[in-house]
Amino acid sequence: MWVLIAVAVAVLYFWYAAIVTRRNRVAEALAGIGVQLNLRHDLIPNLLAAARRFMEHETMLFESVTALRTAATNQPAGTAARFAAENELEAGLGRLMAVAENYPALKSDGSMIEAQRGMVEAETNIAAARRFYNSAVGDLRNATQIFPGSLLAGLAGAATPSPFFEAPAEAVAPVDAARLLR
Amino acid sequence: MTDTPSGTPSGGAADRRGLARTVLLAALGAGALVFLMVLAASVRQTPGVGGVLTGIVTGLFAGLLVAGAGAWGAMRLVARPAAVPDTAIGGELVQTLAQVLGEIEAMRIDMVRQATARARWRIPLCVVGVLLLWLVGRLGDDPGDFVDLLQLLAFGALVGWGWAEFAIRDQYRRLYRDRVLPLLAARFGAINYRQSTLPDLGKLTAEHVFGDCDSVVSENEFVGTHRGLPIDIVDLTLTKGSGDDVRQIFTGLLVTVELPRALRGTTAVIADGDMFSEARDWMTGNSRARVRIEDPEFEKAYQVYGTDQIAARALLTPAFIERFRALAALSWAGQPLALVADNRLTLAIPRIGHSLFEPPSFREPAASRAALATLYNDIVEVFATVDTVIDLDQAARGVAASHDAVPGAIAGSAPSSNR
Repeated sequence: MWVLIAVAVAVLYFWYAAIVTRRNRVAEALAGIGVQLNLRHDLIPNLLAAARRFMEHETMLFESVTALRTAATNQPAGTAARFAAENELEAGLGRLMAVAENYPALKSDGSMIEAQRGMVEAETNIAAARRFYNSAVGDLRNATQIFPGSLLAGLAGAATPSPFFEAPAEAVAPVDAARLLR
Repeated sequence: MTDTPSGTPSGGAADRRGLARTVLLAALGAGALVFLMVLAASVRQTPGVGGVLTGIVTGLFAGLLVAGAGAWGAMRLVARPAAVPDTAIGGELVQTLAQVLGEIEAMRIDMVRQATARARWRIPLCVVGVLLLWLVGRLGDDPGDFVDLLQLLAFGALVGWGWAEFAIRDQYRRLYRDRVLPLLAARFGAINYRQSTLPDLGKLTAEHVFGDCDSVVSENEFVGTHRGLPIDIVDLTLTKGSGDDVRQIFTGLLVTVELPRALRGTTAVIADGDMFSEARDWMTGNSRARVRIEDPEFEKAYQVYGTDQIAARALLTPAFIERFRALAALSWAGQPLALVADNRLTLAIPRIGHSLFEPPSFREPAASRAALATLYNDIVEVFATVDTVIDLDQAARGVAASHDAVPGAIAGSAPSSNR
């Protein structure tokens, strides 16, 4: 009888430890996204400086990107508001890149190529950090939603399931090819 | 089977198939006949159950041997004739490298002369040696008969021939490679060929890309810059064990490319780990951790370990994974493995098929169109592999795979496939 109780306690303890480990992994992944987003923020001034020399008439666009960056920076890290602001900023950068396509001299400019390469790397790392986060959230959810994890989740500080990262609506919206080719 | 363009078998192929069928049937009949003859002879020699059983076993063996030989002949008849290699490039190379090939040919003739001179006394010496051995054996308790003598003489002659020939053959292979391969490699850009120095496999072994090995053999190495990136390619054979218990744990290409981006930490894509590897890493203080990739097929075939979860995923994007798997689908390649340490991507690609960079035999003329074409095609194949490796990286970064070194096109701000 005592052996069975000891085994049950051991199983519960290890399950609890697994939940705490995975909860911390989610926090680590979230912090990783924050680090990568900050790196992107640091690259934006260089990108704008390189583009401004060729795109003098796009003042509104530059101001919009700058405002979006400031708005994103002002939000507390790891919050839904911060991620929404980052999505807005990402969309703004996408618009900037699309407009830059109309400036052939800009596309071949060395500092712009360098800035753009940095942005591509930053975006790759952000995407990787988000995949890591989603993977960590998936593991945590499995540990907390499968019995007896559901009993221990509250005790381990993981009662509220962390949300998965989802791509912004613009990224998953269907592309209207007819409109683009008109 | 050779098909005509319309998809119907050609007349020649149909004839060969008919002949093959006849040969197969004749061989089966002959096999059955041999079986019956052996069985009858055995029963006649030893009447009773023992004779029948011996006859069945021996008859089956002899009959199957005859039938098997016929089946082999039939298959040879049906088999598609070997494709005639395109030696046009070989012809062009013979002309371009005429001076070097002329020098090699002069040395080859001298080497053949040396081998023949050696064979003149080494083969008889070995034959006499085994004859003496046989004579000494005759004085013992179990003297050898004349069949033993014939076998020993053949063996002695073979040893003498190898003694006379092998060292010179290796010398010629080295000479041919050292003189011809650098010239062929230079046709592919800023690439140099050299005799390989043994690569440092410490990191690859520590990260379990390769298992422990006892012997490393590497003969050929190409180094230089390809598509603007520093590359290094070596052919590699790793073996484990000694004596009769030697097994090959890897044979293929080790391709190293320095990537134009900094990836943090170390990421290893290995075939499989054992169930205790994570516990062992934890106990030895190894900071690597399992990286779970979202692709179930990839997870089934590989295990990924990394010291930085984000860097590992920044490398192993869906596009990278797709091309990595495509690499394994190449006709000559086995399942590739990878190690990325900082900005060095190393791919170990097992090779299936003929050995690479084999020069012609020193008994053949140096200016062999077919041999030169084969060597050239080997290098083409290797660089096609390197292109795939570079494309892997470009795919991971969302850069259009072009042969320009610098990704200059302005793309969308984020590779959407990564999400």
